[in-house]
Amino acid sequence: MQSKEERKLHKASPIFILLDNIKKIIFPVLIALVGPGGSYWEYIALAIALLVSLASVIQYRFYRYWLEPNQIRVKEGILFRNERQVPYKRIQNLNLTQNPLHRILGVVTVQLESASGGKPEAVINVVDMDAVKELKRLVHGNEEDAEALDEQEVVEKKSALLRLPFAEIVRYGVITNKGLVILAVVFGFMSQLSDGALKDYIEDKIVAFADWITASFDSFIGDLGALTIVVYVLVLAVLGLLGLWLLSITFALFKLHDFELIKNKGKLQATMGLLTRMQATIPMSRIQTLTIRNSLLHRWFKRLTMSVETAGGVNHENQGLTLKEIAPLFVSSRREELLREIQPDVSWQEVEWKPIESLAVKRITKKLVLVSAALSAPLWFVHWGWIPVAFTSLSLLGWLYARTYVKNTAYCLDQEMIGFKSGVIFKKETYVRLSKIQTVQVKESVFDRRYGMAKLEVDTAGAMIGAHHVDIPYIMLDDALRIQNKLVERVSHQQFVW
Amino acid sequence: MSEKQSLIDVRPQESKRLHPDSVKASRISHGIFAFILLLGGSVAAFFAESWLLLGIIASAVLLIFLIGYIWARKSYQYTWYWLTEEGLYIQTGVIWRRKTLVPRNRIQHTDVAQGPLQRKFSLAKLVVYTAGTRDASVPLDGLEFSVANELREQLRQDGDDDAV
Repeated sequence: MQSKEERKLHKASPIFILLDNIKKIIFPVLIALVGPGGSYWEYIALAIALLVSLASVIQYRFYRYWLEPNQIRVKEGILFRNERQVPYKRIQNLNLTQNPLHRILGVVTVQLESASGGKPEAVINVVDMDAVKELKRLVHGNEEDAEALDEQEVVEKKSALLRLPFAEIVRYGVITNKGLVILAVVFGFMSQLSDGALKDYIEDKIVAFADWITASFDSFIGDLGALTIVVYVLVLAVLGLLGLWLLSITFALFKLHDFELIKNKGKLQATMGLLTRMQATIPMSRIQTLTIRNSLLHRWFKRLTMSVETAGGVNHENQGLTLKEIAPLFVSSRREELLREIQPDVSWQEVEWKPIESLAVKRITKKLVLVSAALSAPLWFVHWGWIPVAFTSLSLLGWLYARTYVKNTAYCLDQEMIGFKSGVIFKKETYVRLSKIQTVQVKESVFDRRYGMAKLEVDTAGAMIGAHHVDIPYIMLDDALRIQNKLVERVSHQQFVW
Repeated sequence: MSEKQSLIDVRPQESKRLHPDSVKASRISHGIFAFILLLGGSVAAFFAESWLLLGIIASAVLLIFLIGYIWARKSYQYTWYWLTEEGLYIQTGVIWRRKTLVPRNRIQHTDVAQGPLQRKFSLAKLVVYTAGTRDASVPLDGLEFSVANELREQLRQDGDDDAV
């Protein structure tokens, strides 16, 4: 079954390589063409880019790989040859992508990720289903796991942990509101356009649209005098929000259509996508951290979102396919069950939350009162009477915030894992199994020192910047040190396995 | 502030300091930095033909150097490290203090690095690498060269024993 023969990419590969290359250069090219132009250097650069992308099609002829008993060996490159060996054991995630064209031709793009971070270890663009099956069998080490991306085949398999019907995807779109991201991209693109014909055209359209809204408004409501502007702003805000939501729902539909999460012999496998079907596989033992998100909108719909971090380097969505959100949206009541399914070696029933110090309310309030003072000071230029009003209300809000913050923040520690939850509007809880802990840090700021408090931070592999992690603030120094010691004891008895 | 126990007070008997020469080395590097700053400033002042500018720059550089001079001693006083069965503890920070623990069995590899200035004082920097993200590399700068090597040896040997 483990043949040592040399393998090549599928014959259709050049098409996909070319498409990928075009995708990479399309935006600069568009900008160069649409923009003011003028300098013919731009055209030269364009020509070079086109040549390079055409030439890279030849890449495919130089791409070889071997499936050896313990590792995959990949050889690529025309001038700069590169040979790479990835042991099957080191492969963290195996991701498959199929867009409509892939499906017509019956081929798949495969990404192999190891823990090295950054780019995927190997990208096989593209091979046919048989090759994928063999690769999967070797990487995952079992026979019957190989299955196609086709929906029918997957559905026939085991019962899914989670499926997202249409209504759930709509809710997901509303809750996450990725529309803002799309809007940002559009604005980013707009700002890239210098004064060209296209920009004028788009601006004209926007102005015309605004005019149309104003006109239809006036005819509908009539003149409201001074209130008109308020009504405009309100209506525009509502329309904008609705538009964003629609965008976001559309986005979610494309990405999550027919989402399915399957647990199969210690591995999680998710399949999703409307046009481009994607499949990602994570061994459960390789989950580094697990986060449950619960925002205000989540609570409204009684839903939760579960995401994980793996040591596989691809943590940015645009770098490749990742299975960050293993359960994009599920009913709150399934929380325990899903946790147990995904991390079976942790005893989830006996989670005992310990609060942070209640003295923290005072500290946070103090901080926020200072902020309120700074915020309300500029009102002097309007009228001095506003200052006490603004200051009092802001400080009161600050106090309420501090109280809720402290109430919602807690940590738990048991034999297998450490957990931390926090957040006022966006509540989040994160769990780290002790065997995945890398370093433990106790931090003490000047302010902490005054109160004898400290902060405890746990570092793991593959942690995303800005994501929610186990950073427990406002605990007594003694507690922090005690936890650190306890963690040390347990961590040093557990070997880290990626 | 004083009656409350601080992170720095809680450390075991066997905790060690960096080599005292590290203060000197860091002061010299501060001096070199200040000198380069001053040089750049003087060139700017020369072209601007302003004695006032030169005076301002010189006093600013002097202030920077003085702060660096004091800081070198302070940070030496507040840096401790100790090795236990479980791993390497590093305690740093003058104002914002932190105590980092790197468990032995989480160490991926270690580096001992030496710059020209450190070579002169036979000092070295030990860098411990983990698979973590924020603490992917944990540096310990200003050790005596032989001590750094010894520490690395200890971390490695024992790490191998632990690898079950």
